[in-house]
Amino acid sequence: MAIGIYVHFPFCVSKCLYCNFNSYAGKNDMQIKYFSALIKEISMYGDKKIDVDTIYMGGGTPSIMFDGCVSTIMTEIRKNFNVLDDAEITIEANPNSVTSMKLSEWKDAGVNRLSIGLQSSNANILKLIGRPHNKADYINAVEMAKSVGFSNINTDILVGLPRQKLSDVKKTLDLVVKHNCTHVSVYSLILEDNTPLYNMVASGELHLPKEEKTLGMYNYALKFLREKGYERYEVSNFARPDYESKHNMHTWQMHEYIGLGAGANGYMDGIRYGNLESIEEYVSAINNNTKPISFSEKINSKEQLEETIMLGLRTARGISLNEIKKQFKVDLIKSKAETIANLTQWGLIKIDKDYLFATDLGFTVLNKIILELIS
Amino acid sequence: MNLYILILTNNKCGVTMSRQKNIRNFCIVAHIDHGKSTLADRLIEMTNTIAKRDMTEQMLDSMDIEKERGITIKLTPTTMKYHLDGEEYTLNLIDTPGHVDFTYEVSRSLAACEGAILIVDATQGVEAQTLANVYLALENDLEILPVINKIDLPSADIEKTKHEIEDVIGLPCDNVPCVSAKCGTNIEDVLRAVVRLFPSPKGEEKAPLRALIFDSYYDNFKGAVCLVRIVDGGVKKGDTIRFCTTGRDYEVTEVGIFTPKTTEKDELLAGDVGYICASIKNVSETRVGDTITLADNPCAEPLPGYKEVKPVVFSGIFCVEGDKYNDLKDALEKLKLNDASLEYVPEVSQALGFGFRCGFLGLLHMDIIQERLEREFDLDLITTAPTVNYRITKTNGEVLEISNPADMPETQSIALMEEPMVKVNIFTPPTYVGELMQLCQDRRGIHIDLQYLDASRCQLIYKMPLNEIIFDFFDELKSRSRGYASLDYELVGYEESSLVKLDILLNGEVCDALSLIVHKDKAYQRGRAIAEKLKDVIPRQLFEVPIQAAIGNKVIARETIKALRKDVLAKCYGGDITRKRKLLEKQKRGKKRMRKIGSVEIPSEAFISILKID
Repeated sequence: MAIGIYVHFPFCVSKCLYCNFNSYAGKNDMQIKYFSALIKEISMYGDKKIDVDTIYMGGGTPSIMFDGCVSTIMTEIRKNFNVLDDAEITIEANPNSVTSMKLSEWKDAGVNRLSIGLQSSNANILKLIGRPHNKADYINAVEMAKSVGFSNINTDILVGLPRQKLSDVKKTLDLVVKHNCTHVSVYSLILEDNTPLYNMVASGELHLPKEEKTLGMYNYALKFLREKGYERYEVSNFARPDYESKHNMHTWQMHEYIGLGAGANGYMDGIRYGNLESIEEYVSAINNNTKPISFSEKINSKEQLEETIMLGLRTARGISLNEIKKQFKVDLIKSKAETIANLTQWGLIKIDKDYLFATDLGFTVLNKIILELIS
Repeated sequence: MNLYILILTNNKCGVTMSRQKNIRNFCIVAHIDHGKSTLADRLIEMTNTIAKRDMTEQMLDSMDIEKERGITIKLTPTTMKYHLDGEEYTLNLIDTPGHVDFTYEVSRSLAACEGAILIVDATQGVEAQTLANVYLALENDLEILPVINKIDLPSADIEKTKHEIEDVIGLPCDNVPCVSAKCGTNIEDVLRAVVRLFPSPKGEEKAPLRALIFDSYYDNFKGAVCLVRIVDGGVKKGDTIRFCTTGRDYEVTEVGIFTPKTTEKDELLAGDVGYICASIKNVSETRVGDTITLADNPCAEPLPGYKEVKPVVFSGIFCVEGDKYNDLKDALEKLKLNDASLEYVPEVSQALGFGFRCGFLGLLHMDIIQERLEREFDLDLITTAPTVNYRITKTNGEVLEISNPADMPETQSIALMEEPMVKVNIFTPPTYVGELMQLCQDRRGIHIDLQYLDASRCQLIYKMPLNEIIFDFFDELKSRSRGYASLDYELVGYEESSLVKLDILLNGEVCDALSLIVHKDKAYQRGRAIAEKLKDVIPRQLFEVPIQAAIGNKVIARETIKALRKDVLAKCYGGDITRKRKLLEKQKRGKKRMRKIGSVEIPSEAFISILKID
């Protein structure tokens, strides 16, 4: 089966206040060294017998990579793997760091999907959470991308941001739909430990909207996007027909993928692994001709079953009871009869033919449902 | 050969004459924190009983919990040598537990003495506990030596303290030793006063053995060790002794004294304080207050005052993790080895699983046992609300004593219910009298007396149900008086009362571990408070959970935990599945610690949180 490749680019111009991803601001002088290491890491995994059907360049901010980097990465990946003709190749971009030159380069390199981090169209909110762009930047970026020939564009938006109101979410969604994005990811802000935002909320300097308000924003997005012809195919992801992100889906369906770059995660041969997070350590490991892996873990059969449930239930299609029976010799209908009956009665899950899936209501408490099914 | 024996015997007679004359048996009574253990340490140090390098602070408190809380639970006696005016004196100090839960043990310790040192803190004055212990000492005809302690503190007021002792207790204070146990000031005065003031024992050395057990503990090698005061006669290794209450006989394997380590001796004679070992399997055989005599020459009458101590406070004890039941059982067995007053029987709760119904002498005793189980045996416990022993007369004339709400019969079959009452003695600065009277009234107290002892102290006496005291009363008392009030209580029998069983229902099912027996007039208030609290501490579930408080079929309070509607709509970024799974693993472990009533998951904290509601 074809695999995916994830490429991590951990540099940012500035760090957003809510972000706890592996990304660094003010380390641009490391870009060249990092890039050389990354190219070398690709060859460490290289095997022309391996088919690749998705490539995802995420960050950090991949759009601030020096000109020429993306095309070099793509050339290197094609040299080392068998990238399929219809592969989905995505790059993440910040609205304020795309130029028509970059877009053209990406397009020529074979990138066919763009993911833009808008988060909100409200300038005050953007400023509050430390985003370095505004609504005009977004419009400019989308229109530029279209003129260069990108037809598959995703926009990330966040709900539950400080001082955010339902009206802000409405305006943001209007903007995204107006510019005809094929895909929208709607995430609910997670207040992560050790982020500036966390400390601001803890000290009372900022307040997040109440749980019900955030839920209201989410439900609005759900309803609005459906009306506009987007289908929710995963808990946080909406797409026009045939524009579902393959890369995303493969993760939820436990396909294998190689993670490249500092802090990237991968899943190959039943082993989940993660790379060193520090840029310096990552570079130095590769320069010593060792894979920059900080941890790896063989996933046993029980854990595989748990992951199959945990990840599969994120998709609208849900989990296949027959496949689970075949692969793990576990009949959930029997072993979890009481739990399934309760969850069904409470309107949180449904079973249709072979698939068990979360309802809209169920998606709001998905973690709990997963917990019930794997405990 | 014969001559030798004769001389020895003669010599022994000579020693006997002065033996008891130069013995002083005494104890120290004081309120918690007034410095009892510190003074004991100084006395030991001053008489060179232990080399200074071996001294650790508060030598006689042998348990960690005792040292931490600054209270003494277990008594450790010590024998000291002291020289005065060319004579050698044997001073036997018997330390007493400074808490009302152990009143009976205190009384037996006092019965083993001729004198008592009464320590009063020069900065605090006379407290409830002080008074209670003085009365106990007077009941046992003890000579009392007041000692004013903590004179090194800037806030010490020696003259005022003397007046208080004279006014409140009625003891003359002309030449009382004024000391600082902490600094070691004037300790010699105390030793001199002990020799001069306290009478020597007046036992009959020739009479049959009568030894009073004032405490016992379990030793892995020696078995149950009896701490005794020899009143009459003598005992030595090889003697066959008899316990008067059980009638059981044992062969003595060792006798000795405490220095304060156990030190073997050839024999113990009238007037001595020491220990007897006789390969006794557990401390239930060696009951405090019992008399030991010799099997082949028994005494005509045992010593007076023996009483079987019964638990007065009860609580269910369960493990947070259900599979730890056997560990809990082992731990209780081990504690029981050393604590004859701890009682327990297996209990099965629908909500909490397998555990034990335990009986304690009082609230402190309960706290200590729970703390020792958690600390020494590394157990995570859930305890149910403490209860007392209720007496129920059924319509068919049958009389029951119940301490577990689960055992309460149907209302229709109850003719009469009675509950244990206590007389409560509170000492407080006058500022807090109003607040404390309100508290006592809220707790169904009947006012008996209020006395202004001086400008800064009042004594409040109330009669109230024990079941009102065991529920957070002490903490309330302390918080309403900013820590200044002190409390003491004694059981004064049973009185008729209108009591009901209050059930808590979660999603329509009774949670047995939350049931309570309360007074009818307080049921509404308590039911509401518990329902409100549970609403806060039980996390939202996947469905709406009604919480009801009910008496029989009648619902008296209701709250609703709304269904959980937002859990996580979170990004699973960079394919970091490992992190997500770790989080899930953690939640799974948390779920395992939850208790289930029907489909409702209840965290163990919920059971604990309701113990703090009034």
